[in-house]
Amino acid sequence: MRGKVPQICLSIVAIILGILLVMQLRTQGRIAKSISAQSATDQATIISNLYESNLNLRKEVDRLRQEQNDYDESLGQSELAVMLRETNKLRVVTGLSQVTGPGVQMTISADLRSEDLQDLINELRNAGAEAVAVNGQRVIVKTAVYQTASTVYIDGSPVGPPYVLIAIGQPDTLERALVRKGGLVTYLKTTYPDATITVLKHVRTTVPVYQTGYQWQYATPAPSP
Amino acid sequence: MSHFAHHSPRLLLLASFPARLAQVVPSFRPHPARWRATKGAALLMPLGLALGLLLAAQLQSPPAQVSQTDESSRQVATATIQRLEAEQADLKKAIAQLRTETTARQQQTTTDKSALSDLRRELEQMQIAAGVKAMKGPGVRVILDDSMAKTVPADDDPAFYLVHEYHLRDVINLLWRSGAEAIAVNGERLVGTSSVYCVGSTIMVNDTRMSPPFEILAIGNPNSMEDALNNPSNLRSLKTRVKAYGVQFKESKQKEITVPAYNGSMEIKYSSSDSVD
Repeated sequence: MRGKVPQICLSIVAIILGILLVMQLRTQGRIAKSISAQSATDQATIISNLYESNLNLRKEVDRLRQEQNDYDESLGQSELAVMLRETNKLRVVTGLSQVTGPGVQMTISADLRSEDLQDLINELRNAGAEAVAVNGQRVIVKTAVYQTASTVYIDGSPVGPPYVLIAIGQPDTLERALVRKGGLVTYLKTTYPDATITVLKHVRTTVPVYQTGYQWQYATPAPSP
Repeated sequence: MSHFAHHSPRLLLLASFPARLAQVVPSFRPHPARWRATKGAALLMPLGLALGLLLAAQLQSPPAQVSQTDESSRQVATATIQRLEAEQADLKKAIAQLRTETTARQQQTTTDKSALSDLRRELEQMQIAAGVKAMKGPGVRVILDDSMAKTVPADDDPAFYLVHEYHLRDVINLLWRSGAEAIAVNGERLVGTSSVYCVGSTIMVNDTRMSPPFEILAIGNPNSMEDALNNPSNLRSLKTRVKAYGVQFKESKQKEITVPAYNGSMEIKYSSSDSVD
């Protein structure tokens, strides 16, 4: 019994020491962790800084978005579309583009006079032709048809039979204008009894571009009176 | 609530330890006879010392760190920080993206703006060519009117005394041929779709009814146009009527005339303009 008392004491002390050691190490670990992490005040500071910074970033995002909107507006996308549409329309009217659409094709195998061609062009225009070509030459506002002796010229180029006129517009209207009673087909058949005259309606036909272009030597734009 | 209440069970055990130690330690009081024989004494001294040190260290450890409310508010704060950091990263990404786009747009705008001004110039040229802009310049003025004759002889056709639409067409055709750049008849600008037409005894230009006198204004080289008008081999039908029936035909060179813009409809319904570029 005497020899055992110190051993028991020693064991108890050792056990307690062990327990304390483990506890101390754990506590130390926890303290170390807390120190490496931020204190509540530090966290508050970090949150406040982040909040502030994000606010500024969001403002910058808004500013950049606005800037892009401004670019889009200054560019005038709608204006561009309107201008393109208008330009394309005027290209048809001026003859400055090749044109495709429904229409009629008239073929006349006769030695027409320049007046006949003039009248035919006028008749087609009156029936709403949007684009006209004679023997592959686009007819524009200032197209002149004339003749010297027996040669007929369109804008300076000699043309001859068979005359092929192509007009783009409402096919029925165009056809009716030509073949109506007392119309030009009747007149031409009377004037040129041997002529073969055909008028065909087309769902889709093409009129070439006016090659020469417009030159302005004398006329300049004026404010409308 | 005191901090103590939140201490872990282990610490409670620790807190009760000094009392237990007090119970144990008295049994180690020196009894020379017993100590002599034990090696334990040598061991016990450093152990006791270490125990004391540990005890002191343990008691000095700040207990506040492990409070549960602090722990949970710390977790909330940590979560907030993480959320804000994620948001920050997103915003930075968005800004980088927008900056790239803006740069691209700046370049695009520059090219588009020049494209727009090119288009505007082209449209203006097209409007001039199409006749939807008023033009001014030198040219000629032609007047055509019915005959002044008061009476028509019985064997004459009254039609011979009138200006007909084909006379207008002949004059217009001749003016174009001699270099006219813009023509108007009684204020109606001639465009690509214009016709000079006759319904009954009424002449229509651009579907607008007009009556004599007809004034034709043409901008172009006044001399070439006048020469063409006066050339006897041109306008023979008209000139015959002028001589025989008194139909009126006058022309004069003009230093500056203004030909108005076409203001009728220019609807394109059937044509599609093919790009030929």
